[in-house]
Amino acid sequence: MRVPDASLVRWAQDGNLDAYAELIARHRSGLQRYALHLLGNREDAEEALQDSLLRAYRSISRCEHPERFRSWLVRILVNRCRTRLARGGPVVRDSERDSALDNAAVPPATEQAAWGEEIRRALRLLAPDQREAFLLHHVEEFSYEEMAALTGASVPALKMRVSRACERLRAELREVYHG
Amino acid sequence: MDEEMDASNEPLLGDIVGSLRAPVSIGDGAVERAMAQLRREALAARRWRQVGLAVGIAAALVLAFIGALRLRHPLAPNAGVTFALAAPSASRVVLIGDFNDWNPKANPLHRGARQWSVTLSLKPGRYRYSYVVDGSSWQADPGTPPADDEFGAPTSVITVAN
Repeated sequence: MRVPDASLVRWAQDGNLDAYAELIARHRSGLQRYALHLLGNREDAEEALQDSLLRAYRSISRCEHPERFRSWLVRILVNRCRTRLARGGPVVRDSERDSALDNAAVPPATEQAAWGEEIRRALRLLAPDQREAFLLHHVEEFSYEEMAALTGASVPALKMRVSRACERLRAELREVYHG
Repeated sequence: MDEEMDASNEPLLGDIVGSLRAPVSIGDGAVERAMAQLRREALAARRWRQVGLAVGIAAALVLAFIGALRLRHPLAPNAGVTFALAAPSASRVVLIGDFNDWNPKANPLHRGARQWSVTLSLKPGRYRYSYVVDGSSWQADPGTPPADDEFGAPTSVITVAN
């Protein structure tokens, strides 16, 4: 039987690092994915992720709702990614739309890989707040209410950002989509 | 904007989301480095606890000496940073930022005669922060520069010098 996150969090709060390692093993794929897609390159994503994991363990005593550990952890990552962008990270602008793909991208050896690259290119064209909202809602599957708690934005504002992100992605990808 | 989009009902969007949900090939090194560092810190902490009473007493004496020095120099730069907000109609104000991992439970402000305030001891660095008024409304600090925040959240920035 799988031990609930909440139990692992309480053990981690008592100093059990193995429990924390298990928590991270459970949630790492989503954290990696979010950081890479939001920041757009491997180096910044790894830095933001490493920083988040260190901060989370050092402040895990302040995780007051262990059953909501994932949201608590993602909130730390969301803010580390924001800080990374604010400190001169790879802010994406329209003028960069033709820039080289990031170093985490896989060479387009197949049609599927080429489609993945097109998606990453289109994702970078979104404003950071739209990209953040789109990833949290559609990829990481947070509700708008959860996102409001994570980001400080209102639910209507978040819905607007997601809607605009979807519109832009459609516009950018419709012509190259062969579904 | 109540139009909720269901990615499963739209092939293009569904394919985009499906592609983005696939595992990515980065980040394992970051996880391993973070865990290795935490294990080193835990080991160091355990060793420190094993050093014994003698070292503890010595450390206490050193800390007392440093404390006495601070008392003689109360205006040292790291003595504390006071965050204050005038919000007369608020019933609760909390401080969130890079220094407390944006945890709304960590640093509540205390109501004073003219404003809410809290004083924190911060390491030198640049921090983004915001106030949360009555549990939901984020508010930037009117007394410091706004942060360059592309996410629309009202945040401020403060730099603590050495």
